[in-house]
Amino acid sequence: MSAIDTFDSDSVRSRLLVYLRRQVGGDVEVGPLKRYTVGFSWLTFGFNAKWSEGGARVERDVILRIGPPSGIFAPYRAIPEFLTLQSLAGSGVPVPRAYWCCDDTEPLGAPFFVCEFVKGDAPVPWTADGGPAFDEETRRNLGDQFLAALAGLHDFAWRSAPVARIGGATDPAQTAHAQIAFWEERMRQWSTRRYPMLEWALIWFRAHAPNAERISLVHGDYRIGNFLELDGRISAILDWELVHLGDPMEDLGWICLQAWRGRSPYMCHLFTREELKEKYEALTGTTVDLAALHYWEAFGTFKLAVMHLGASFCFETRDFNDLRMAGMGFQIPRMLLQLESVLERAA
Amino acid sequence: MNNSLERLIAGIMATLRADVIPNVTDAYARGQAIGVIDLLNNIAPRLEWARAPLAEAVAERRKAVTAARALVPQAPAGAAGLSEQAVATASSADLAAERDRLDGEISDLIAWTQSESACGDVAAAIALLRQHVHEELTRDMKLTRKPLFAEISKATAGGQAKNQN
Repeated sequence: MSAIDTFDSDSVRSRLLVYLRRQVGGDVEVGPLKRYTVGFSWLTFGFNAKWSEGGARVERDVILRIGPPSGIFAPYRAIPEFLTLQSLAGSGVPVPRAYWCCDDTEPLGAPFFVCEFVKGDAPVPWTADGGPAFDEETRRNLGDQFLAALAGLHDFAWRSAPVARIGGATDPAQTAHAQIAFWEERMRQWSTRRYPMLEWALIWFRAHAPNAERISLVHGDYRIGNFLELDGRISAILDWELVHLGDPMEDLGWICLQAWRGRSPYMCHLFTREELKEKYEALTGTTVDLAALHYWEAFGTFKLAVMHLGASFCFETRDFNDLRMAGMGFQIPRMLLQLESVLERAA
Repeated sequence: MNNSLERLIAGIMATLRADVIPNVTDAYARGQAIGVIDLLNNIAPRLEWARAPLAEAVAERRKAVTAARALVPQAPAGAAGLSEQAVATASSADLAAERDRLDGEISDLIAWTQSESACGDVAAAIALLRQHVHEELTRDMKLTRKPLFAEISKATAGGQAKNQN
């Protein structure tokens, strides 16, 4: 990963130490940084930190996330994710506690934030035999918690919280159009080759854009793989880098993507589409419009296909040698066939 | 887009050199991994993308464009592409560029059929292009192997450090 070697653990640690001392106005101890190499968007480090807070000595295991210039969504901003974690603390949505955030590139060379290290495993959608990811009891248990957290997020009173500053579309007639514009821009940036299926999809999305019933905080990547589970409990919802204000149906459609369930009948390996609708409606007191759900599932499939273009672009042009990104480039025809299929169902 | 062959090979070699070999503890295995780099280094200048699938992709796109234009003759013309003669002798790189140009032309035709100026047998042209796009993706899928995401995830599982994007 030559392009991100400027973020080697030792140099990050020494620069972080300077920054944290300035922030807490006193001495800070930062243990050795462990770099996790599994992500290919934000760089993730774990370490132990000790500092004083209100006269008391505090010790925490924390996570440092850095948005490198070579990352897929670069240039990054840390503040939207930080404000989201900060605002949701103590709500019904389990999130890591947010400690520090900086979008200035001077301290570490890239935007970053520090949050609590939460214990747990991240179940993933891909199973060795394509079968279920959970036994029946776990599926129901985690499914209920997953939807309760989603309902908590979408019902969150964002207007009076710091997270109101993160941006997004707050005109109900523009939520879909804002997302179309955002992802079309990414698509054109990441691929000079034009894919007729993607162009077709864009025309359809514009012609059928639904109005949002309400404006909520939208996670943007709410799915299996982005939550932690510990002893049968969802301990944290992670990866808020695509968070924005918009139509909450967007998250529901994303949950329904075939990519998150393979051949399983359960969305994200957790519940049927009918259960998703019924339980979400019961939790939020809102009605899930099936046409809007299908629209956002189709749009999510488009978005995921565009992300595949981004991975391929990032590998080709940013000297980022994570071979999974090149591997995603080879899966674009599969994504486009899924898009065709879901568009036909939505039409 | 699929990445360029040159970049793929360079990336594989760099990953082996920087991320794999330093963590291989068995001496024989380490030697073999270096052997992979040696082979890739020598294979790279002798490789290009297979020509036959690219030639077929170009031929199918040309057929679809010609048939669609016959149904909607008022549609704006596309940019000039390779001549039949040039296609016959074109390199893989030239064929890939011609395929991409034709995808652009098909995209423009699709957009035009949805516009207010569309005229002619628009419905038939749309059906034809839709069928063509489906068949081309299906053809591409015959060359696409199932991803090893499950194995990769199992190998790299790491709790909060995990991030799929």
